Amino acid sequence: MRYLLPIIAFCILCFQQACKPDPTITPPRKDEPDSLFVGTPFTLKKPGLYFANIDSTFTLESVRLGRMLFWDPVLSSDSSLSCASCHIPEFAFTDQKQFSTNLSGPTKRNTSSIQNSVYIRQFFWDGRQPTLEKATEDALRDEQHFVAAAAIDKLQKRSDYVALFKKAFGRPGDITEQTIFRAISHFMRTAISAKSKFDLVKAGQASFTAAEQAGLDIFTTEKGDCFHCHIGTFSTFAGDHTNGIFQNNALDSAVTVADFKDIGLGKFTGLADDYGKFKVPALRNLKYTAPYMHDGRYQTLEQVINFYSDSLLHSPTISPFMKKINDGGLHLTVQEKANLLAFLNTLNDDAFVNDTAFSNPFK
Amino acid sequence: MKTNYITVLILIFFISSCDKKDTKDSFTLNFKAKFENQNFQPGAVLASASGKNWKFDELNFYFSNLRLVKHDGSEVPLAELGYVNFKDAGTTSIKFSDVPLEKYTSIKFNAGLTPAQNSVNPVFLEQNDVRLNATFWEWLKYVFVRLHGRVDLAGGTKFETLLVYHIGTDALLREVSIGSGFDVTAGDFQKNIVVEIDKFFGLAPGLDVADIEQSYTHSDSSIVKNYPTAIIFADNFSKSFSLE
Repeated sequence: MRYLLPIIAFCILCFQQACKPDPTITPPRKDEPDSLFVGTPFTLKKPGLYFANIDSTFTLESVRLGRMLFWDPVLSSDSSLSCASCHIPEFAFTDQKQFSTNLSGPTKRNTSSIQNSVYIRQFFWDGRQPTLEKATEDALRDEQHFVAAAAIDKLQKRSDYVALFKKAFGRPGDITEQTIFRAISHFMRTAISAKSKFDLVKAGQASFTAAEQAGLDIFTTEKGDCFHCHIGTFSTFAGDHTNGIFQNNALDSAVTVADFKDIGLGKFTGLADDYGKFKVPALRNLKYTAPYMHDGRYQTLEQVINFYSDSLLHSPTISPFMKKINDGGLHLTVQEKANLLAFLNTLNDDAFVNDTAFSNPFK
Repeated sequence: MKTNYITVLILIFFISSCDKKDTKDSFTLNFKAKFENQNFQPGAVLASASGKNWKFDELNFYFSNLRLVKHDGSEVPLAELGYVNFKDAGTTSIKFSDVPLEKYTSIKFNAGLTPAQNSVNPVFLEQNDVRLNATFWEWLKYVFVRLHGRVDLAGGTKFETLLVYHIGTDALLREVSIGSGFDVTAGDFQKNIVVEIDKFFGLAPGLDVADIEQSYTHSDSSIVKNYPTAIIFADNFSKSFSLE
């Protein structure tokens, strides 16, 4: 009995400690109803295979928010540049310039498309970022000179953004760097091109012409052998993790790795065996994404095909898939080149580039 | 009487808590690759006695129906399907639990996928299925073995001869049997399985990489001039394994 009171006192003390609010948790705003933080679930349809593990907790609001941020120059330091300045939907999210230009000035790389990013595991020509969120952050900081505090301050002055950030991701609904990157990534992931003629043929809803079929045969056989690099399980026709995301496609001559003007992947990994390798780009919507190659050196697809046909150049890290290197190329006939071009044009998706779901929401 | 019961109970307690002889324990297989006794590292130059210099960017393969074989011929299954990629250290060491501690004569497995495993379209695979490490070609299905590299036939540093070997299709599935008797004992017993890359090319009838048709293959039987390369490679690959 004489121990009972101290025991009770001890228990009361413990309960008091347990009930103290954790200082790291923001207490819910009692003046804001839950309805302000409840978004509309959105399921992203992902046709195809091998899509990367992604944050898939989408809401209609996160996608809408991302679309606004994608088009709004508010995130850039001088409010002059937006993602859409270079990633223009009608050009399959490229800008049709040889080199991209940003607040740091002109670059030496062609703008990559962000189409079909659900399937992509490494981003930028040199693969330096592993996720779309990280790539978004990289681009915003490096190209738009994004400064979080300043950008957040600008966004908080806009009631539409404040409301959307709440609904997009639920409580606490704060505008942060991470929710900015996440929202833009959600929007970009909705940019899926999968309704080209090739897709319709695969679905049994269309047929190739004789020229297109002949071109497919060149693409998928050792005649052209394009498919060993440009696979993406035919979802993207890009390089993928099964056969190699990065390749050296015999574009430039080099006796040693020190001769490469642009070392590509090697800059990120530091490995000499990665010098001269670049991300194998997707072949969808080529009609809209000229010019071509990591440095935009080719204006037309005919030039690209002529390169692979007759102008392969040796270097130490050339892809082992470039079997015709010692012959200088594939040596396609005029007809074969035309057939290959006809097949590549079946990968264009006019509906995708005209889809108003990606257009400027402020107009 | 009460004391006797308690004594018996205590005795039973101590007897039952004595260490029993373990009959099963873990067993680890480590996959290693060598080229003429040189340890394989992706991208490293490997000199051969024939005067060539070799460089391999990657070597990976699937195995299936991996099992231990006892003296009486019965088998202890270890894995239905596995994947080894020498560019990914996480895949080259595989630990199996509850392996009977016994004497075995050999280890057997298929170099590649069984027909049943090979016929499953990736659409139906779980996200963590190892078959998603390889492209599924509708006309060739999965690639069982993938070797990419290059060789300098003159022993220099140009490496102008490119090598690509993709082995697949049910027809090129081969069984591997290695070992000449070993005991699996307690305490995470380990064995090394070594694959000798030089044997891919060196075992008779051999592959002359100077011949372009023998420097690559994609296992397409419709390409008559190249398909023999696929057969030779598949045969030699299955014969290149040994147990350390």
